[in-house]
Amino acid sequence: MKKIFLFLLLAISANGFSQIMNPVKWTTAVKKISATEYELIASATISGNWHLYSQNVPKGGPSPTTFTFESNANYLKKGNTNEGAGHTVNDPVFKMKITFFEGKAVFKQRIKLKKPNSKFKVNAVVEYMTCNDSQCLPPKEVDLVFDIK
Amino acid sequence: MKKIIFKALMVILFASALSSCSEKKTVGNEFVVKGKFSKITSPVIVYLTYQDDKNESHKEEFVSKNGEFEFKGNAFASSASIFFTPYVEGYTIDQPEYWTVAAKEMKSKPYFEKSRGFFLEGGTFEFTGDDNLETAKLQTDSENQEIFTEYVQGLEKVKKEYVPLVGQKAVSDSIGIKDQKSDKINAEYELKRKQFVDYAYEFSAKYPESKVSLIALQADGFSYDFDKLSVALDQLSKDLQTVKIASLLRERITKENSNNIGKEAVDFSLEDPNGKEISLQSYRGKYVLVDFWASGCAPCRAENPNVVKAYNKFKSKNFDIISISTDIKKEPWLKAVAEDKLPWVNLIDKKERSKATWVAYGVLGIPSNFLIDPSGKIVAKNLRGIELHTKLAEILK
Repeated sequence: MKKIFLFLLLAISANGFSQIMNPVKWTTAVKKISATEYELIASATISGNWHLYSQNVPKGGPSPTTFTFESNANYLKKGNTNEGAGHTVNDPVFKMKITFFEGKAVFKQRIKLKKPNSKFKVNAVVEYMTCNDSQCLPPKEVDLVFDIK
Repeated sequence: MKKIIFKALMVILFASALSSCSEKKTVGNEFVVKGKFSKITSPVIVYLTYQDDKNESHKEEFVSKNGEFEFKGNAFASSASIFFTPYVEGYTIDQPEYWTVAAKEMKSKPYFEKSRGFFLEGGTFEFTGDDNLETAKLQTDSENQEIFTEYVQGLEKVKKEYVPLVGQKAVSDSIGIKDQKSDKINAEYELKRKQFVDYAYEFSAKYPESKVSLIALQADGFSYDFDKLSVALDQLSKDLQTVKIASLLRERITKENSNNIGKEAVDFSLEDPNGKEISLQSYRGKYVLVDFWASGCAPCRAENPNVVKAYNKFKSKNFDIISISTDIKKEPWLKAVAEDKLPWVNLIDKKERSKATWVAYGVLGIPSNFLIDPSGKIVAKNLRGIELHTKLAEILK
């Protein structure tokens, strides 16, 4: 699995050196589970040796990735935002177990539609921080849009 | 700011070409990329990644059932890459389910391991081969392919020598002992870093008329040598100088120069933990280290004990520190200030990005600091590890 991601990453990074300045790119997708249930998928492509942190970082640790979904009349959130496995390490600086992502990270949020098969948009904001071994980019907020149709 | 610079590149129709209008093509950025691979017979997704003529990144997909594909778009000067992944009915590669199916397929067919980088600009590009992207024949009217290959190979070479030393230096800095071994690592690091940074400028001096030089100069935003970048831009052929990327790089140089050693430090007024505004101006008459950091930044937190050490050593010599946190939220910031026991003035930079102090200082990554003299001039930048102590000892005699 890791090998595949790595290969994808290499293929992509060959393209954009300018991505070094903006090491995390977000894309969104929507998957239909049933007429009343959808899955919102936010994927981060992380270049080079940069890290993106898990949503579940102990307090006092590095800035976790956080999602805020703007509520509207068309849907209700179902459960929390899931994330992939990532890498867990004992961080020597924060002295705690920290999970981070390299290469790629996928976050999923299930939602329940109030009206079956309705069409609408869900706006969300992801707040995150990217680091490598020697520096971090200041915390950043990115707007995401999920198109339910 | 940096986002704009690195994202928003494009070709404006050259003003000169518009006025004189004829000989120069003003709209010549359309490309067609085609492929025909005789031994790829099962469906694959073909990807083309590139930056368009506005320097937006693209990752285009083409589902190919017979080994043939075609992409169309606009590009002025971009390094591009093509690769294949298996086609899985009903799933896209953003979905984990895709990978469970695709992984098997990728193991059994070596052509999924290959990718092909090339230089993309206006024109036609036709790849033909059996199933191997790397060895496929490229027919094109683009004249920059060989120059691009030379650039990529040269870059790989200097990068391979430089990258391992970044890690070695980080380890040696964190130990914080200055001895023969650390001197040797530092010297070698400086040498390889210089070779890595200078490569782009040497390359563009060799090919001032090639669009590939634009890619080289834009390269790694963290390691510009701004004086050399400025010279390199001046040396580009006239046509390339009017291109947006060149003017955006110039803007970046202007920003850097305004925060350079010898320049007056940008004044700021930011809130301390009690909400009281404190300005840089109020520190006139003192040496002050303005230190940018954030609570969640491990490299910053690792550096903090070193900064505290320097503060204790030099605080009696007309020296003070202001830490500026780029934290968005107040609570983790206050907690980290308490944990790291930072005894000096702590400020938070939570203004919107375009008005943020770290942006005004041209900070690209944290930690990052500026040493400012009693008259308000910048006298040193980005002092880390042992360098902070050496520089302070030299200045605060």
